[in-house]
Amino acid sequence: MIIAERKDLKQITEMLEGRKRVLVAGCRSCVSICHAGGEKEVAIMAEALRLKAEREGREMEVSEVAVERQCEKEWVRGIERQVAAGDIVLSMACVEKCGGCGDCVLHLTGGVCPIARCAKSLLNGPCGGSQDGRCEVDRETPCGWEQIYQSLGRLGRLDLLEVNIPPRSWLPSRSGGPRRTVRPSVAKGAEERAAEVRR
Amino acid sequence: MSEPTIAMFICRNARAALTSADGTEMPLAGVQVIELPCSGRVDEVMVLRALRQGAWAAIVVACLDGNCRNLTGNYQARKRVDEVRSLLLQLGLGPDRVKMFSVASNQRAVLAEAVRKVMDEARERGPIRILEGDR
Repeated sequence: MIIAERKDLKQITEMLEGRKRVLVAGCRSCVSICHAGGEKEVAIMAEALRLKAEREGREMEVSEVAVERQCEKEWVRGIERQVAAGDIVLSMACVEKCGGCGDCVLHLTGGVCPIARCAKSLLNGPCGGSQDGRCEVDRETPCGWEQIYQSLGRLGRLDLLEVNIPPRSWLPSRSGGPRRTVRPSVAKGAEERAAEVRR
Repeated sequence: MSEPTIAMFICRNARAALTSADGTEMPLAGVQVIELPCSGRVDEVMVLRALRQGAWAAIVVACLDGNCRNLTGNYQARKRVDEVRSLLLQLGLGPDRVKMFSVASNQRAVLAEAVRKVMDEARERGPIRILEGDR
């Protein structure tokens, strides 16, 4: 089961600092069902970013797109041109190999999850056991932080390795209790249910 | 300072409140009226776009609780208005720029008073600026 929740807009706008052409990319599958990253949520996000940029007097071109599944290369190929035209892609989809930690740091780790890929879930790696790109736990397993390093290198963002990720709260992780409604604006309220019963 | 402009999203069924019994329309200088088939049609994008395109404030006018012709449109509108206010807060804008009112189609005075209040508030606060919110 995949559950999704949009990050705080303040955090998102900080990630987009200095970018001029933003592509907000949604996905019509899991995150759409969670009301966190479907076509509708992409439109809301894009409009919010435009509003903020215009009010701050910054130039920012925000475009929107939603694909059937961002986890399938075949679908993503269809938006290659739009991706190439942007400075940055703000993906509102989920990622494969997600640890469900509830406080994503993928924007700092080149899209490779340190929680899911590192045997120790280190937030500031690698550890001393990483040898020749392999993990000390099992020589067959690639080191998660080596992959993060390679990915950041490909993106030209090795400077992000300098960012210290502080100790995190595990409260929002998957062990945080039963499922709950994240977006009250789309959940049925008591008064709506009552109105339907009256009908 | 120029005069404020307000975007008013109003339900078709509540719109009669803009007209008095003798057929005269309520004076709405500076108010852009956007009629919707039901207040439940209003969504976050509409309101954010209105604010981006220059409205100093936005109001959503719906029917009274329990009076929605489509049963739950006004309840849905309220949830979306709450969502927009939360988004504005996260963006560093004042959430009070967006308000919702419930009126019956014969409550002309109530609506006029609500519009006057929002207009006065907008005039006082001026055009939207970033960081006017609490954070």
